[in-house]
Amino acid sequence: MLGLFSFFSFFLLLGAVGVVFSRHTVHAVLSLIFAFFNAAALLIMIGAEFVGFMLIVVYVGAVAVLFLFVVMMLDVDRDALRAAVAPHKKWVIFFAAVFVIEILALVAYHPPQLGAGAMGALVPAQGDNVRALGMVLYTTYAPLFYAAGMILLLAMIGAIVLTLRQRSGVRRQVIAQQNARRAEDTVTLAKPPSGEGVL
Amino acid sequence: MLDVLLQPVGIVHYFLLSTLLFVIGAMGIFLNRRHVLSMLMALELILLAVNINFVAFSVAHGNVEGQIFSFFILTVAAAEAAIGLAILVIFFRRHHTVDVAAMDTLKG
Repeated sequence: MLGLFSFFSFFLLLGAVGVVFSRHTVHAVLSLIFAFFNAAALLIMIGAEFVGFMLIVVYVGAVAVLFLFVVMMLDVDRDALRAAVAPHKKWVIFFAAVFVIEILALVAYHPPQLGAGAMGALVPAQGDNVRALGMVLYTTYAPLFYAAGMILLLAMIGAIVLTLRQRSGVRRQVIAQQNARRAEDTVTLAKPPSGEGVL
Repeated sequence: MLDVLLQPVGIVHYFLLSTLLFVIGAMGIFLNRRHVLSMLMALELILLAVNINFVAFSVAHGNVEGQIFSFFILTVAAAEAAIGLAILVIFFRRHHTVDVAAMDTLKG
């Protein structure tokens, strides 16, 4: 089990490093997808299948594709933007190292005190993970479930309203205007004399 | 030698993994401070670290509510990505850059 865990977590961290450090933004998005696949594998390994599958469906299926579309639309020179931050790089790495060492010291001196046996193996609960989640999500957390739906609706409306643009000078079909036109307003009868034009 | 690979996985392993992932994501935010798209991706990494922590502790406690919470984090992360990318698209349309330093219109 530890071997499997090390395998997936190594590639997860590799993908995360790729997101942060890769040169092309497209490579960063693909690394993000890779990282999410490995994270999903890690979650499935300890018996949280549904969350793992949701990670793949939501992140790889929706969010990462959204990122790819936006990367495709924007033409950005990532290196030029990164060069401006380069002088601070050693400070960033220094503070990150400090944070990791602090957490390691914390775990070493005060290991997390959980219930009996929790410090040992992570044993997935027997039975159906999806059923167990549904029993709680649709009863105790039903109001929050509705709220999550409202948040998604709000995000959808917000994204549409933000990116919809009305350009002037474009010939568009406006059905209401077409229906409002009457023959007596627009059609004129002309009797051109023979041998001359209308005007 | 092979016994090490067959050792059971504990909560500490997941905790350390999510800590490393969180730190990589936070580093990404600071190292790509000028590039909004990279910052958003690093933010997704941070949220993933939080989700892994929630799920691992939920399994350790034998309580599914941690996994429920990770769903809500997932929902809000998806909404945040959608809105953030929409703002990014209209910002790029106006300024032809995604440099955070160019976002100074509200400074007065």
